[in-house]
Amino acid sequence: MSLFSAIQGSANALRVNQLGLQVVGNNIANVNTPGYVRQELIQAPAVGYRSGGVIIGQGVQAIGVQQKLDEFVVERLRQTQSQLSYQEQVEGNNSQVESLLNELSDKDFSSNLSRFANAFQDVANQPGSDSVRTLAISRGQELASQLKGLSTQMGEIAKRNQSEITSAAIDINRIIDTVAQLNKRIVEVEGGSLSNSDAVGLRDERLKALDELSSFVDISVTEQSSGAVTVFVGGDYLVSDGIARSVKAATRNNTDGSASLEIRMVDTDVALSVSGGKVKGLYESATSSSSQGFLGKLNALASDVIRVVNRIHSQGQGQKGFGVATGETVINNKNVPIEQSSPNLSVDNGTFTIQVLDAKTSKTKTIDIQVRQQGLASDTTAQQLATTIDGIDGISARITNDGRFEIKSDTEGVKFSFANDTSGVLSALGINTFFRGDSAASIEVRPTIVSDPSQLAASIKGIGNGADNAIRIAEAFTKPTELLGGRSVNSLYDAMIADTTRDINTQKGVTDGLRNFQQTLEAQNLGISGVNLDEEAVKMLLYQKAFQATSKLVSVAKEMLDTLVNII
Amino acid sequence: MLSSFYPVVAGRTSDSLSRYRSLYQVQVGKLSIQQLQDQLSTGKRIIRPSEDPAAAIRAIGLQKSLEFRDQTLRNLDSSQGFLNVTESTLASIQDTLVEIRGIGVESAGNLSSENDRIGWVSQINATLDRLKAATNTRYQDRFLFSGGKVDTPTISESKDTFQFTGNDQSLLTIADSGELIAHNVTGQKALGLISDGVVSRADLNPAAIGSTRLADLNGGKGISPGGIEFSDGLERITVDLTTAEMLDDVVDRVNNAPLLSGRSVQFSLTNGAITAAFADGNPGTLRIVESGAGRTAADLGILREIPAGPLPFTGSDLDPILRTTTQIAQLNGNTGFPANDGIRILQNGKTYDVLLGTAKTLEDFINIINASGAAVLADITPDGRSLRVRSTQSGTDFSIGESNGDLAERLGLRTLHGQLRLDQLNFGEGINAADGPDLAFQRNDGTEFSIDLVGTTTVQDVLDRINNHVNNQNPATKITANLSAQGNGITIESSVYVPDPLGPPLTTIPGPIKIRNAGGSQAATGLGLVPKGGEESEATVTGTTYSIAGTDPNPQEVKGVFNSLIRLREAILSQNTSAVARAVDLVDSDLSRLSLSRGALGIQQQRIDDLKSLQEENKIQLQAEESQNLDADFAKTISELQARQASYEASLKLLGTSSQMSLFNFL
Repeated sequence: MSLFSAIQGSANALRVNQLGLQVVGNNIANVNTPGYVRQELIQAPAVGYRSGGVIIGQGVQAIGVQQKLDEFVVERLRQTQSQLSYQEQVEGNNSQVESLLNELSDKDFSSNLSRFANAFQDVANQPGSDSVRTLAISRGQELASQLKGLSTQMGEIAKRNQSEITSAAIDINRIIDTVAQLNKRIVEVEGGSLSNSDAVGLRDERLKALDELSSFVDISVTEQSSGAVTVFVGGDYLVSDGIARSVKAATRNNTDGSASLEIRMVDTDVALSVSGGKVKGLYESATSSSSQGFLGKLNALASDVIRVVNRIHSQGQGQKGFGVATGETVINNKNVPIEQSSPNLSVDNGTFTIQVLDAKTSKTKTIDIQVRQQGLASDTTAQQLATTIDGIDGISARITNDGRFEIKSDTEGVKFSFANDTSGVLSALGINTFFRGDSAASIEVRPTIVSDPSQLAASIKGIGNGADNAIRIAEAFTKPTELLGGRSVNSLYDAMIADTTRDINTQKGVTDGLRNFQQTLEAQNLGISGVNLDEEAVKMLLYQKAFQATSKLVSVAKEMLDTLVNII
Repeated sequence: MLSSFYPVVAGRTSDSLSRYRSLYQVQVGKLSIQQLQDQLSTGKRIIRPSEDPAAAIRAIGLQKSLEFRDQTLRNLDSSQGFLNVTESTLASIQDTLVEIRGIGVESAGNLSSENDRIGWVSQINATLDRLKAATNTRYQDRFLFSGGKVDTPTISESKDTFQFTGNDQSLLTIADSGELIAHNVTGQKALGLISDGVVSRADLNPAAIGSTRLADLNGGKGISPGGIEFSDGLERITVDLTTAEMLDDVVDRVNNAPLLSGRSVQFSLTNGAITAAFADGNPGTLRIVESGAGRTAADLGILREIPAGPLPFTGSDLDPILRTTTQIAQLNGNTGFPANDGIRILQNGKTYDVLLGTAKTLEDFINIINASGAAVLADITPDGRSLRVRSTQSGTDFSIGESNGDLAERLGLRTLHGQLRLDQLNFGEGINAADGPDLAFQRNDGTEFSIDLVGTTTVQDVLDRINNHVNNQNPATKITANLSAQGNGITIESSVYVPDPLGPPLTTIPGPIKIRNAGGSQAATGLGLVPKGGEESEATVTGTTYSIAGTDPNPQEVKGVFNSLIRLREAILSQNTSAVARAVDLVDSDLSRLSLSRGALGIQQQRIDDLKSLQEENKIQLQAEESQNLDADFAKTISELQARQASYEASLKLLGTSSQMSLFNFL
């Protein structure tokens, strides 16, 4: 009886050692499989039986195959991966912004600012040269074109980000469907096994899927006793047992009037509360294309450049007077104080001067026009301003049907010019300005100046008299001006570039830190879950030796049985 | 920067970890080598600003400074070009003038030979042509001496006179941050192409009105920004005038201010001053003080710390400056001037009457003067206090007197006026009075008397001396002297003699009054009462009045090169030795003005040279600083590259060796 038991016990041992060798073989086979978690055969002594006064062991039995995994490390790695994906997305976006500005090169934005200001200095050097004036206008066009280009490129980046959010929603749905399916199969395969990792291949797949999901959104994963995992994002679950809750990309209207995409739950239409992953990075990149982000700063800079150049330019005179001057601004309501007649108009209480020149008689007529903006009933409306100017001999003024302020000389020989505008109304109405538009996207040199460079208002002491106004425009870029709150255009740009560069650098530091941390965690994870071929070789030898020894035992038991049988 | 190393986690390792680490190290090693290669190939330590924000921001600032510096150097080069041409042109003009001075000196003592005179005059004419060409020198789209009117020739010639058609504006360029320098010399400064101004002596006394800008008040000093405080002993209100631009704004803000103990304070303007009262017209206590430590109330002339006296309270005169938009009606303390009044300009023998007429503003009046046909330039003086009339025509006299009424006197524009010193007359020559009697008069009854002008210093003194002379007190024969009511000059008058039937018979023959120089004096000529070269002047009779209208002995002229040459030509042709001497003096003045201009130009050129060398040095410093922030240190980069390469090679070797090792090799 005992010899047969010994052979039976040995048979268990042979089976277990073969299983062990199979697990080793599987590990060796998957040594290069990404995401593979090494496995280990769990074996235990078989339950013994009582034979008389002694309990005899029945050899060994295989309990199960277990994945060697540190859940804590995996969870931290996943969180880190989420944060890293988020930061890498922002880093990628920042890198594109930085490339757009192209700073430190000869073709960067600051060089264009300098070239524009320098061109006006050249106008002051050669006030009579048409080609120098034309060059100054070209420099203005280049500056406007670069600002527009930057704005367009930011728009393109924003579009790409938006389409990536749509793709991310598709990817998230694909992954959570996979996780839900795997959940079901793992529960079916494991059926509440003690090792909790019997469905080894399926779990590997699920781990990979969860890792991929964590790169999109920051997830927290809880494993149920059934072996299924529940995946949460913020307070919402994406996967529970075999159920996946789909998400969609939907349009969100922002407070600044812009619209962007966000990821929402399909069933509740509630936005996913995302604080990490690529999706968070895409959200944040979207803000750089908004009024709060880089585009906002760029627009503010463009608006300042437009405002200060126009304010100075509108008070100057070109080489010849105007026969007609039409404002660029559309007046929505001509019967309210000018400042309220159109959005974003800034007009101070002040005066400006119109000088009417009769070319035939060389007679000039200077008229001070009051622009009253004191918050009182006497405040000047656009219509009142038009009526006042219309009352001047030789010129007429009106607000056109399309809402623009128009001043016109009554006869061909009469020309007019502007000066000393302390109210800023000319600039606000877009009369005698250099640029038109109010943002990086809309800035351009006023077409009438492009087609007639003699309208470049380089003089301030009369039509075609010197080029002091060109100097004032050039100086606004380097010297603090009250128009910019005691700062210069260059210092505004410096502040913007310093902010942007510092932000990018800080963000880069955070990303590098996370990358290093992620590497460390990955190393830790690979250390625990990765296959070590030498270790597997040792295990293989051990299983081999055990198999040999067990086989020998069977052989010995057989010889003993043969001996007994031969006695008969 | 990625770290090229991360720690091995103690406890266990795996093949995938080894592989992962090896790949990472290869990646990082390769990346760092590429970065160093980038540095070597571009020569830049940082390619993108975010790699080193502090250095990049400094470098961007430095790049902008360098771009600005390059431009200012271009400005200085350009200025130097213009000033060099200006200098060489002025040098040639000066050489020409020196030659002409020689002619002047030579001719001064020898005007009798007609051939010589013809020769000299033709030389002067040729020189005038050369001067005109030099003055109208054009360089790079610019008439060098036309001031701000760069497209307009500096001078035009018409009928032997030369008229300045440019202006006196300096053209500026940026030499450095906040520093502007002129890169032109105006024709006026170097060559003298505009006369001294006839500037109104009288206070035109404009009254402030509602549309007067606050900045123009108090003689252009303006109003300190701030607020004013009203109180009636019970309550106080403050009115902020910080953004007020015009007097109307001040009035509006006060009149719309909150009530003071239930009553409105009301401001209005009365004859150029602010009047304060309560709107209900009733009496009360009204104290007006500064809000805080400002000066606004005082500047507005309405500071009333002790509210004594009845309301309304009128502040002091706000004393605005003159602007082209100032209305004629505002002048003269808000009473203006009669529209029929006018001034008379005499220039080059022609008379131009300029009536105030329909002029509503000073600009209208200026337009009328400038368009009168006379080559004059009327404007407001830069300090905004006076009206000014200048001649732009070289070689001619110009004078301002009355046309109708006494406008020229009231505007203070008469070239000959009572307060004028006698030694200023005749271009500073004076009246050449002598010891003893200076003026000899023949009365209407044929009798004579003479007057000694000793002790007189002004024109008015002369008039008084004549009018009050002890021998000139008989009403029947009295000769009165006055400034001309038409044109300018001194007019002496007397009534036609009416015989006295009761008086003794005359021993002389009655007739028109006469005046001549007495003894060796030239005073009658000097005062414009006797023509130059003439013996005496005899009165003309109009009705029952004899009158001798003198000429203006204080004409104005453009003091400049063209004027001097034309004067010299005239003097030679008229064989007037003293006029030749004056013309030589004028040429001397021109030479001295030219020397001064060239001296100033030299200093300016020197300054530009200094600025250029300073800025070149500054540029090198900026470049060095930029390089320090931005450029790669080649020695350091190359040695680092070598170290990285060695390290990378070692990693690869180690990777190769360690991947060979396996327990399986020994089974």
